[in-house]
Amino acid sequence: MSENKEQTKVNKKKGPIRFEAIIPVAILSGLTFGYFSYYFDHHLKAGFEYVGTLANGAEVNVASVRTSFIKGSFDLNGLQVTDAQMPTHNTLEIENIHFKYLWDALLRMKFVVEDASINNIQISKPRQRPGKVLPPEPAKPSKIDEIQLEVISQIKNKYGKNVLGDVVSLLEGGDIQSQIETIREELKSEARLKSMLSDVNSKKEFWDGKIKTLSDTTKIRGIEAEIQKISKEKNFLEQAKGAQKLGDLLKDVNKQYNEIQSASKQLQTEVSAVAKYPSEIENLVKEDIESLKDRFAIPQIDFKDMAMHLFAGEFAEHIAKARKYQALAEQYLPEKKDKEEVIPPKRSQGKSYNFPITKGYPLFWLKRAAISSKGTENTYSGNLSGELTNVTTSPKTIGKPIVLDVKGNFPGIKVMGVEAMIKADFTQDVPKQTALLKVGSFVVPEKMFVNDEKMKFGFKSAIGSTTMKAELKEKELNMSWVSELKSPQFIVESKTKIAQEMLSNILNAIPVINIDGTATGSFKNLNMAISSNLGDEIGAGLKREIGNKVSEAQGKIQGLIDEKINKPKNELMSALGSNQSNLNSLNGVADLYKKNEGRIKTEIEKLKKGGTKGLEEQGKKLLKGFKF
Amino acid sequence: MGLILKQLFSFIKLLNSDTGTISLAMGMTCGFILGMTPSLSLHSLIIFLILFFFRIQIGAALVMAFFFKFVAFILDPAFHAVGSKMLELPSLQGFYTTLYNMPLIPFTRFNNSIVMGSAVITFILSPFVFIMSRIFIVKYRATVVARFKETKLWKAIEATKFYQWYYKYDQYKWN
Repeated sequence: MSENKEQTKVNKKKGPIRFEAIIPVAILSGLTFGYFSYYFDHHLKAGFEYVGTLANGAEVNVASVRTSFIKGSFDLNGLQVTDAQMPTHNTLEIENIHFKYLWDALLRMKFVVEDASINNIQISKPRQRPGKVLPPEPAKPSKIDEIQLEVISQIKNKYGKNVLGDVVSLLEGGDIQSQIETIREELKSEARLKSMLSDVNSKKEFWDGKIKTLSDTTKIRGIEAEIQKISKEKNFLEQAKGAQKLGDLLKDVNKQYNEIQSASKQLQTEVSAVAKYPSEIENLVKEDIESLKDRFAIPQIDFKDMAMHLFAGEFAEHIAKARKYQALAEQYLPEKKDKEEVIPPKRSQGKSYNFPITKGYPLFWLKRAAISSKGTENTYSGNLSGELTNVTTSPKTIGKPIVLDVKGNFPGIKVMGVEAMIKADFTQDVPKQTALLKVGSFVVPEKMFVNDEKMKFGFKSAIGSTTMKAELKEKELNMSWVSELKSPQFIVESKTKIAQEMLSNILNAIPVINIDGTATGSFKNLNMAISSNLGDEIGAGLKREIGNKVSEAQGKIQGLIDEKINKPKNELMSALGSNQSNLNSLNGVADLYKKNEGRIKTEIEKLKKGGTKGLEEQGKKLLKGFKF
Repeated sequence: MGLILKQLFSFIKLLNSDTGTISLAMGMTCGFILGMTPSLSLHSLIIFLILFFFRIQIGAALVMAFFFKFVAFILDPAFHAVGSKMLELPSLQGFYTTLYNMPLIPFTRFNNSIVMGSAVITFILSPFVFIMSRIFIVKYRATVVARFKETKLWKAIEATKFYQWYYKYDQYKWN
């Protein structure tokens, strides 16, 4: 009982405030304050260096970080990002980054940067000592790589063909010759010609024999001898018998004549049929030429697209880069809509009412950041000045677009008159991003358009200027650019002398190259159009030369046809000629028979009347008529 | 779950002990508010701070919060209806707009119908919960505990060596 009483006394002493909890909390708060006052900045600096090094793959240094909870400020000094490829240099060096947060917003758990500055940005500046480089991680495809590849592949698939390479191949002419060799045996006309020739020759052989038989003079000599014998006969009776014999001979002559006539008609029919062979061969030769042209695939090059083929790959890479940064920015820039203010309840959703914002802030708002940079020799940094305004997570709340406005020169790398005005407007229901980039003058580095065994073609140097406009609205890109390259120097190396000379002549006559282009459509289906006087000039020159080469190729085809066809064709024509000659000869014999038929009849009549002398004379004349 | 069971046993023990009824009733009331209103809001944090800095039974608060969480799910439609009515009151629009644009206040998520409805209902009911809790504790101790201590079974248990050893241990542990 006494213990219980003591316990009650102890309990009664305790007041409503739990001091035993407040004191430890106060101590903890003091320690926290001390930590943030003396150690937090150092740890934050080390954190930046560690995370930055991991992200960059090479050493990142920060000289100092200063934060002030009361002032709401953040200062980062001496940021150096080592170039992983060249550790003796920094990819990026920033002298100072300053942010000042608005306390009023911080009390609303919002981060509003009223004033920020990024001072003295330098690129590719040598380091005091080489930075450490982390061992490379095994490569793995990233989403960003996929996005870039999507843009590049569709353009390269469309325009990646090495047109100049094809042209040079054609100029070399090797392809046509080799193809001719491979298809020598496949000519239709040649095959048909062979069959025609065989047909005509067999017919010729037949008719030669036939005509020889029909033109046999033995019978005529027999008749001659018989007539002479009969005409010399003094005996009247014998003369009468002779006349009868002559009558029999006349029948033989008639029979022979009819046989010759019949053969002549048959020969005439065959000669007419064979006479159509040359025209048939002509048609087959034409067919063969067309077929060979197809087989040789004489290129139908659209020289209007020459500029596209030359520059599409180059511009595709720029568009892919733009797509990469746009995709990266898209993760942070789009309006998070009204849900950003609401932490989803674990219970029922309920309904969140939004009241007019009279003094509210978005979750993050960088009102203005000044950007400045001073160029130094032998670095890529330049004299740059500009500002970045209204970067926020809720553009609709502030009603202003994000704007990056930068102007400057980079004398170290001879890039002058750079102006960039990039706007990302998410204040409306349909977001719109625009960019206007101008570069007054820049040195065009060596750039090869074609670099293969057959040909090397590209820029050695030029002084360029460009203006690029782009607008992205509802994932539809509308981009255009106008570029001018002055004093261009070219690299032209070709194994083909004609290509070398031709391209050199064309290019040397171009003082200024204009490259204008557009790219429209979604990133998944980009329609690109690039026009350039370089493409036009090269296209026109090549068109002329290619036209000659095509004619030459056609000549070679004709030569092949001639070589394969002409000889057998001549043989055919000769065979046809001899058939015709046979026909003429046959007709001559037939005429002879016909002509002398009458004379024989006369002689027979004379013999019947007894005129032997006259008969003799007639017989002689007859023999003369036969030319024997 | 282990923590909740531990708190539940502690709560039963406190009910059965001589601990002050006000402390227990305050704990039950705070638990009622915590359980009924959605967590992750500024007023929940305030309740926790009150529990931490004032001598209120935390065990009672946590046990009651756990219990009322289940009840709250059932009552969400009612909270939504009340909260919507409140937030849509034309006469209070100016007031809400001011609150909405003030620092810190938006963290209470007062503009959510369920938060507003549950807060209004629980704050209105909290005095009654406090009074009812206190009456319940007093009645419980006077009737259930007292009668139980008079039973032969309890007296038999009290007489055992084990109980005496546990009693001493318990006193030592809590003091």
